Amino acid sequence: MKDTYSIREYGLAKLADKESLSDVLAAFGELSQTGIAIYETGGRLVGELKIGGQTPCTRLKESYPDLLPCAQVTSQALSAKAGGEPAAVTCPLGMLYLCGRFVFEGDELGRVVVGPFIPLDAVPPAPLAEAAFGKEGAAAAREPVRRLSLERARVYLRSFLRVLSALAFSAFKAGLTSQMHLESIRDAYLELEMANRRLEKALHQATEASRLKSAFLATVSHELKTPLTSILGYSEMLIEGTAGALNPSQDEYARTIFEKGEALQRLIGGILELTRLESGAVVPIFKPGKLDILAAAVLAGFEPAAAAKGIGIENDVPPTLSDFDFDHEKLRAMLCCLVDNAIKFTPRGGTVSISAGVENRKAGGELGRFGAEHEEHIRITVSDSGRGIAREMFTRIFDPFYQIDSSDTREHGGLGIGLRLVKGYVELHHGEVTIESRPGGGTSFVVYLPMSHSVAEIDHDAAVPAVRI
Amino acid sequence: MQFNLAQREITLKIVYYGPALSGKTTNLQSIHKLIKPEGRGRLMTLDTRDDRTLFFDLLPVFFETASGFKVKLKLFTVPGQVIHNSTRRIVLAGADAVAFIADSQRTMTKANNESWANMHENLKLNGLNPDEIPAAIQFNKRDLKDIKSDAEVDDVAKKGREPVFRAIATQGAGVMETLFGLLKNTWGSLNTRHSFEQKFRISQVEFLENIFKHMDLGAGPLPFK
Repeated sequence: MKDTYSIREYGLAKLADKESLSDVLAAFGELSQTGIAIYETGGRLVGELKIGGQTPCTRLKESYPDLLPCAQVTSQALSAKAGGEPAAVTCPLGMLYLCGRFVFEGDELGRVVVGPFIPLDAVPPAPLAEAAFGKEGAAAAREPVRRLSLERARVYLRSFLRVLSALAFSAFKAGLTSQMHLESIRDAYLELEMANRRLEKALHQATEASRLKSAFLATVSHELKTPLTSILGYSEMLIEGTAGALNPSQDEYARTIFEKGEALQRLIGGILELTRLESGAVVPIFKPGKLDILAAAVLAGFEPAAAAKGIGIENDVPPTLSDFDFDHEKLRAMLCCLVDNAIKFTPRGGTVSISAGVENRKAGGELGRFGAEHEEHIRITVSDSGRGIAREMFTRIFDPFYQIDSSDTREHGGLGIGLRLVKGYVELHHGEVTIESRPGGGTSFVVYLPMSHSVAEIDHDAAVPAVRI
Repeated sequence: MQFNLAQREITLKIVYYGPALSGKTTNLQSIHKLIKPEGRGRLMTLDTRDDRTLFFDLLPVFFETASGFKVKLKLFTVPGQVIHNSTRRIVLAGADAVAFIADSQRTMTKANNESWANMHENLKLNGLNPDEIPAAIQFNKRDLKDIKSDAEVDDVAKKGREPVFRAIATQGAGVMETLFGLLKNTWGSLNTRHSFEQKFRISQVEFLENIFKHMDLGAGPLPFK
């Protein structure tokens, strides 16, 4: 915004809408039966109204072509000294013009001339007209001109100046409003552009950090995996007696090396998988299959661990559940993570179960033109009767490397990537995973997977039955 | 300040700032009522919705000095609502002085603080130094319940250089005193920076008397000297 706004910069000609001004002038003429002219400061004519057809001035000009009586009058009126009262100027035909200053907020923006009229009380002499038309002719020439008292003419002029002031104020206000609109929009645009630039920079930094992290993880995992293969291979050879018979202590040490090596290998595998998921390198392969068979296979794999801990495992997936399309390998990995987690956090005597059903719920993705869409989802629930999770942990539990218990003395091991992998696998299926839990009341991870996928995503040719482990 | 040599005219911009609903527009409405029409223009309110200012209010006050200079004061308000920061920043550009209208209610302390900080930030963004620009603080709404006590207002006054006034703008009380106090400081600042008195032959007394001579000062004369 400029420091201050001034109506003078707009000027009277710009402020007055031509059509509105014509209407106002016409209304004034109808009311007063007197002519009127508006001049901007500097003498430019902004608008005028003449009453009658062939005015006496025109006839006079025909007789005296060198004379410009109206121009003379106008010039006199416009150069009249500024003062409070309107200046009265007489023309060579003996007619009167009243000239008033149009002052707005202390500035003279122009002048308004009302006339011609002949004052009721004293008709001014008109020697020039009498010389041209004779005394009677001059009187006849002035006949059609409005007779008006000087006081009434002053009232007309004052009233018109007030109307003009109101018009100018409205136009000035409209001009300022539109100027403010434009400046506000420009300012808001610049502000948004700067915010966008900051966001773009932050996004670039975040993307770069993520890429570096992925590269670092991949490199580190690879560098760990290579020597680990040797550790596992050689310890296995020792256990098998390839290098000769081992005494009981040596055998125990070699088995410990092998078991811990395997645990390490699983962790590294998980890190690599997470890296691939986050970099978008994993493409799901959807094939039709039966969930109850997959759930049974997954639970069967955990039977020894559950039995060792005295935990019951139940497959509550109804065999009647319709076949649907899913990535068999990823869904199995996802269920394994959830069941492994559930067993880990369930005390002796507890239960872990997988159940499923069909639910009609809001589809993911952007909201459509006509609102949210609903579609059928498979709901898979992995429940345990463990100690539960506090609500404030729900949002962070899927963050990679997040541990609810991050103390050095925590009871359960792991890197905190299992649930992040679960979320990644669910997202590959365009699904959603939620938590239902309360401290001491067990936990249920509920996975919703849409039952239908786009044709392009489904590999119908490879009709594989259910996954078997 | 805008100086137009051809027109022999000086224009000063005074901005009324403050949190939403603190009474900035009411201050201008009171001033408009108290100044006789020959000394001021119309009060222009630009774009309102539900009686809330969206752009600004503008009240021109003008006079002519003995040396023939036209002095124009343009009193602006800004929209107080937080979302209109762009507009506030635009209106604040080129301000010669600011009147900060604070809400006396205790519950509005946070809003006052935020608006004050926002004013400082926007002054800086406009290239104006918040520590140097003439400013006055008005604690408005002194007639309401649960307001800051006089002692607390005095404590606020001690914390800064700005003169602090108490007002009930809806009744016109304290409004002129605030404007007077601010203009006194403004003249001092202009005189220091632009040798106002020497260049334009306007004394502080003439400057203030000319502005306030058209005003209906029910509370008694203001200390011009």
